Amino acid sequence: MTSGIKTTITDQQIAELKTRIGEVVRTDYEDWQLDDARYKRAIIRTWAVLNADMRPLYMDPEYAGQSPWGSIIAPPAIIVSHEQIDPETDIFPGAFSRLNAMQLDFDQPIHMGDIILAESEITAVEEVTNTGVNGRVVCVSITTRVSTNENQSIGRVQLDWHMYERGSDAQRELYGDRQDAHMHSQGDIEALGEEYKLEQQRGADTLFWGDVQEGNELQCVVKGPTTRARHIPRSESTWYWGHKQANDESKQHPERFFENENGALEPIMAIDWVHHRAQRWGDLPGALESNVDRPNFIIQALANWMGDAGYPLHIKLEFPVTNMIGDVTRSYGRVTGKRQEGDTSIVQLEVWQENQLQQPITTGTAEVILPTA
Amino acid sequence: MSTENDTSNLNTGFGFKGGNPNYGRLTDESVEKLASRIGVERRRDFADWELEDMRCTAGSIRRSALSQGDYNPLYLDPEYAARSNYGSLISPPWNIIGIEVTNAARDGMPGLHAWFRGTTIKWVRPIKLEDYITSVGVLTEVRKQKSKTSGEAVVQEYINTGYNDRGEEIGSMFTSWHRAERKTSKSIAKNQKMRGLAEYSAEDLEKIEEDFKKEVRRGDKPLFWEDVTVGEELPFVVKGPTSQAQRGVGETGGGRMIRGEPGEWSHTHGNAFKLFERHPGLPFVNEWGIPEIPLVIHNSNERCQRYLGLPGAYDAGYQRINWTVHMLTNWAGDAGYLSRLDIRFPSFNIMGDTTWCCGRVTGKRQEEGNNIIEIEIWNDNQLGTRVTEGNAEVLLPSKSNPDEIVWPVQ
Repeated sequence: MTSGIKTTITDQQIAELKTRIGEVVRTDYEDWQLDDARYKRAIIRTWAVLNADMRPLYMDPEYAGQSPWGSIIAPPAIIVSHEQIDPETDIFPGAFSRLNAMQLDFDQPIHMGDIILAESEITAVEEVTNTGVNGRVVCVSITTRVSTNENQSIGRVQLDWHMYERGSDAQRELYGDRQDAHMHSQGDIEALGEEYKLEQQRGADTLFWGDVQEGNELQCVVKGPTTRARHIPRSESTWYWGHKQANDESKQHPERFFENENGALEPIMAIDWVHHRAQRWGDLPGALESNVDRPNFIIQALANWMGDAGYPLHIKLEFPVTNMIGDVTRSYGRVTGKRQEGDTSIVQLEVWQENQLQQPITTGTAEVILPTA
Repeated sequence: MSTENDTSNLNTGFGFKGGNPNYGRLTDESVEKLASRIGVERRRDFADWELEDMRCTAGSIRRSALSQGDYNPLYLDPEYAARSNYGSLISPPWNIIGIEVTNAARDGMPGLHAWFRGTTIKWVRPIKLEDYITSVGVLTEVRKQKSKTSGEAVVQEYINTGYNDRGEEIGSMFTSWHRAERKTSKSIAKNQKMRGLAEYSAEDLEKIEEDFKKEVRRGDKPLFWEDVTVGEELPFVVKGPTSQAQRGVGETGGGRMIRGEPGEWSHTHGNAFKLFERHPGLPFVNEWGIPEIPLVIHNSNERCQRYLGLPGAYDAGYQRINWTVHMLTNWAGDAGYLSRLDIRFPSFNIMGDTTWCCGRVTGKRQEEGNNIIEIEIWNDNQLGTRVTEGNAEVLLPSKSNPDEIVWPVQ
C-alpha cells in the first residue's frame, strides 16, 4: 500500500504537450447519435438543480416562453462542460489539476432542443516559475468553441488549468495556512439557512440599461457549504474505469492510477474527491473544490440582478485561492461602467467571490447586455 | 485477500439535528404508519416532457452498458443489433430496475437503516431504442422480526410493474428490504469481529486479470434448448475490485436525470437547506458540522466505519443484479431471453471487493410453448464468501423452430 503519493512532470512531457498546441479535439457524432447531443429539458434541469439556481427561465416552459428568449434556455455557464480535453486524463496524467482562470464569451443562449457541438484546442503551455516553492506547475490553456449543429456560435471558453506535481510544496501551497477543512457550528449553519432565504430574483421585471448607474451593487449570492466534489456526468463520459476496463487502462496508462486502500489500482483523481483520501494519499489538509462551479455562482448573481432580459457577454475570472470542500462561497458584483456599441447596450462590472474566511477566492470582470427602454 | 477488523475503537458521532424525536427509531407507531400504505398504488409523477426525455437513446444505452463493463454489441453496435431478433439496439435487461417506484430507503420510518434483502425480477418484453418506461409500485408487506445483525428489525416489501410508452408490460420487480435503527446496527457491529477491507497482493490482481480474459460472450451464435445439459456451468463474469471511482459511475448507471427529490443525492447549496427545513430530521451532521443526507455515508469506507461501525462502504445490491444479468446474457446469447431472476444478498459487498458471478443449469422444461432453462446463480467475493444467491430462468429457441423469437410477449 502506498501513501504520500508524489508524481512528476518531466521536460519531455512538457515538450510533447507543446507539440499538441493547435491540435483540435472534437466529438464526431454519427447521425444516429446526434440526438444524444440535443439539449433536452432534463439536461437543463439537472444543471439547474445541481447548482441550486432553479430560476423559471431554466425550469418552466410557460414562463420561459413569455421571456425574451421564447423558450427554456440553459444556464449560460453550462458551456464550460463542453471542454473536449480532460486535463486529468489527456494532459499530464497523474498530475493534480486546478482551474486557475477562465474567460467565457457568449454569443447567444442554448435553447431547449438545440443540438450542441464543441471543439477544443490547446492554445498555450507555459511553466509557472514564480511559485517560490518546490514543485513543478504548468499552465495549460484550452479554448473550446461551442456551437449548434447548424454552425451558429454559442460561445467560447478559455480555461487555464494549472497542473501540479502531486506531493509537491507547490500543491501544498494551495491550502495556505489551512490545516483542516472548515468546522461549521450549528449557529453557522442556521445563519446560512437564513441567508439563503434573502436571495431575490428580478425575473421578468426588466432592468433597462438606462437605469443602471456606476457603483450599483449586486445582491450577494451564497453557496455551500459544499459537501463533496461535484461530479456532473458529461453527456458522453470520457472514462468509466471499472472492472475489466480499469484493468486494461491501468496496464496501458499506469500513471493514471494509484494503489488504493485495497491494494487495487484506482483512477488517481479519486484521491481528490474526499478529505479522507486527500489526507491519506496526498498528505494534504483535505480535498479542494475544483473551481469549475464558480462561474455558475457569478452568473446567478448577475441574473438575479439583471433579470430575464439581460444576458452575459463576457466573463473573465481568476482564482487566487482554492476552496476546500466544505467551504462557503459568496458572490458579489459592482457596476464599474456602461457603454453602447451600435445597438448593443453593455454594462461592465467588477465581480468577486469570498469564502467564509473572507478570503478573496475569485476576482474578475463581467460584461452583460441589457435592453434599452 | 482481507484482514479482520476490530470495530470496538471506531469513532462515534452519528447525530441528527432537531425534528421528530422518533426520527431514526423503530416504534410501533412508525411501523403502523408505514403499514397503512400497504396496497396503495404509487407512481412517480413524471411530466410528459420528462417522459419524452427519458426515451432510450443510443447514448443512454451505451452509458448504461459501459458503466457495468458489459460490451455486448446488442447495446453498442446499431448495425449488429439491427440484425438480431430485436431489430435495434436494446437497453440492457438490468435497466428494468428503473421501474422501482420507491423503496425502503425513502419510504416510511425516516432515519432507519435500509438494506436490500433481494428481488425477483420478471421480464416479459425487451426495452428497445426510443422506449420510455413508466411504472406502478405497491407496498405489499410490513412485518417486524428479530435479526442477528440489527436486533429488532422490520421487513418491508414491494411489487413494481413496468410499462413501455405503448402501455405494454415490460416486466415486474418484487423487492424485499430490511429496516433497523442505525445506532442498534452500530452497537451490534461494535461487538462483533468483522472482516476488514479487501487487500490484494500483486498475485491476487494477476488472477483477477486472468479471469477477466476468460469472459465468453456467445453473441449471435444461437444456443438451443436441446443443447443444454443439466449440471453444466455457465462461464463466470468477474467484476471489480470496486472503488470510489467505479461506484461513482456504476451505481448511477453512467448518469441519470436528476430531479432533486428527497432521498436523491443532488441536494446542494440552497436546495439542501430547503430540503432540511422541510425534513429537519433527515440530515446527519458530518465531520465538519455540515448537514448532509444519510445516503452519502455509503460513498466512503471511512464514513461507514465511523457512522455505522461497518468495515467499509457496502453496495446496495443493484450492481450485483446488473453483473449477474451480464453473466446470464453472455451465456444465453442474442437469441436467448432472460425471463426471471430471483436474487438474494446474504452478505455485504464492500467497496474494494471483487465479485465472481457464476451459474449452473439445474433443470430444463418446456411449458406453454416456452423452452425454459433453470439456473442456479451465485456471486462469490475474493474471500469465497457468497454475497449473492438465487436462481434464474432463461428462454431459449428450440432446434424444432430455430428462428423463433423467444421472449414471452411480442
